[in-house]
Amino acid sequence: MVLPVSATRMELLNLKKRLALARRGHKLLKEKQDELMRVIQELLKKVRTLRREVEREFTQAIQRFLFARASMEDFAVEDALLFPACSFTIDFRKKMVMNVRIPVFEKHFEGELVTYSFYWTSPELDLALERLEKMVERLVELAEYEKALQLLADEMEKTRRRVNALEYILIPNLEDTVKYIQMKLSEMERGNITRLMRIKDVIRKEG
Amino acid sequence: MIYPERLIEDERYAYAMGVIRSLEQRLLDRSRWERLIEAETPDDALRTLADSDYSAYLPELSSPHEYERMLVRERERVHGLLERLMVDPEYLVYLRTPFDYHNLRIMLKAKIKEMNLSHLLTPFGNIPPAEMERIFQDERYDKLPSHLQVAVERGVVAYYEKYRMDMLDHAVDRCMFEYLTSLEFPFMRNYWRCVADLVNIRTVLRLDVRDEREKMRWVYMPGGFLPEKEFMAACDAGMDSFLHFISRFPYREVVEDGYSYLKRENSFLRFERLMEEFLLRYLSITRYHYMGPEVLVSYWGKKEQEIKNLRIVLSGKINRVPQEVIRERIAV
Repeated sequence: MVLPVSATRMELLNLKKRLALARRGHKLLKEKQDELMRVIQELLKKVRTLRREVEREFTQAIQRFLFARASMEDFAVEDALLFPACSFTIDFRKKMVMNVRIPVFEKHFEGELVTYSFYWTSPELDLALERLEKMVERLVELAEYEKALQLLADEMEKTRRRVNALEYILIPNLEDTVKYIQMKLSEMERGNITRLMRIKDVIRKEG
Repeated sequence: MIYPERLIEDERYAYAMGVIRSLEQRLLDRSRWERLIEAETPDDALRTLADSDYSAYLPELSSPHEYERMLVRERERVHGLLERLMVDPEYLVYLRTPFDYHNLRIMLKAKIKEMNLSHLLTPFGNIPPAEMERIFQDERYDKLPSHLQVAVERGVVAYYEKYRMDMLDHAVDRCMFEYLTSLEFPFMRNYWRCVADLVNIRTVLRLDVRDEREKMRWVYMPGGFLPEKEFMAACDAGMDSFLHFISRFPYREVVEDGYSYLKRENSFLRFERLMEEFLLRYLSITRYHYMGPEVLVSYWGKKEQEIKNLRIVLSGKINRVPQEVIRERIAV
């Protein structure tokens, strides 16, 4: 599609500059898209493995917790977990990957995990809590990767749209317009020459 | 036999003996446990209990998830039965004492944290939960038995030393073991001495898993048969020394098998089973006893174990735990 511009040399020069810029942008965006695809593929592999591991660990932790609960009186379970001495905090910062701000979580466990009576509780509870602690760490890691994946996928989508817009709309339009202006200018040039030749003939006949 | 024991011969228990001997026949036997473990669904497991002591409660359960209600009702029945049969009421007091200590811990925590924790009180103690709450509300600790007054004092001091609830837990548990391992009733006293030893051994293994054996001196429960100094020295010297130390005592089998399973499978299931079986064997020394309160205590212990096993099986069935895992945990 030809852009609605006046067919002047100035416009032609501007359009040529825009076309060159669009081609350079397209090339860079295409490279970015490829790199994003590579990063996403790598991340996807990590997320798949980690998710499987987290699900397995979660099942094991729950099974242990289940056994601990079954071996203890109901009131003893709640009593044991009523006043935890362990706190879990997450520090949050951002890092740039392919011009995308992705989150990085830093996990900190403070205090002791097992702080209850050893007579009233089952040792399976210790193991369940230990597993849950490890699982929470992995879970946060998984959340970090999944969020990064989501943000990178969004960026990928945006880049793809930009690449397509450049490749299938802007660059062809600019090319068409440049071609149109060039044709128009050539036509005007030819018109001028004909007009000049005609004027020359008229002058020659009158003289 | 684990430790030689002189049992009381008391003819006043002749009627109680007859009742208990007949009730012992109704305890769930090995084949019944096998059927329970092999049941396909929780409903099937409950159906297996149709002609047992638990059959009376089955119609009241609208779903297998309500099994805890059935277990509480059965425990109430056993406590009521023992109340009727026990000629010497102080022995019944001894049976209920651990629950008093539990309630005391809860009330101390509630008092320190200014929270309402009455839902965590158990009705199976000697002091009813409402009475316990009143005592703590009015701070009339003099109304508590002297051994519980000591526990209150030590529990509070232990908490304020480091502002840690687990210190309170350990202090009150220590008081409980001091009291129970010095009872006038030799059969129960020795039972609790065995429990103290096994709990201490189990604690060493629990701490060893987390590489925190040095904490043992904080959580050691007194009153067991094992000499404390040697126990602590062996614990400090490492697991090999500890296992060598235990091998001189009747707990050798429990520890060796339980510890190797723990190392192999990273699980305490076998240790807990072996520990409970050890205590069941101790209670079973009353099998050929003519008459005396020990038989009632033995029945109580077996029934408590049965309730615990049933909770494990039903909870396992509801959560689809593999049969072999459940089997590993059930002490019969």
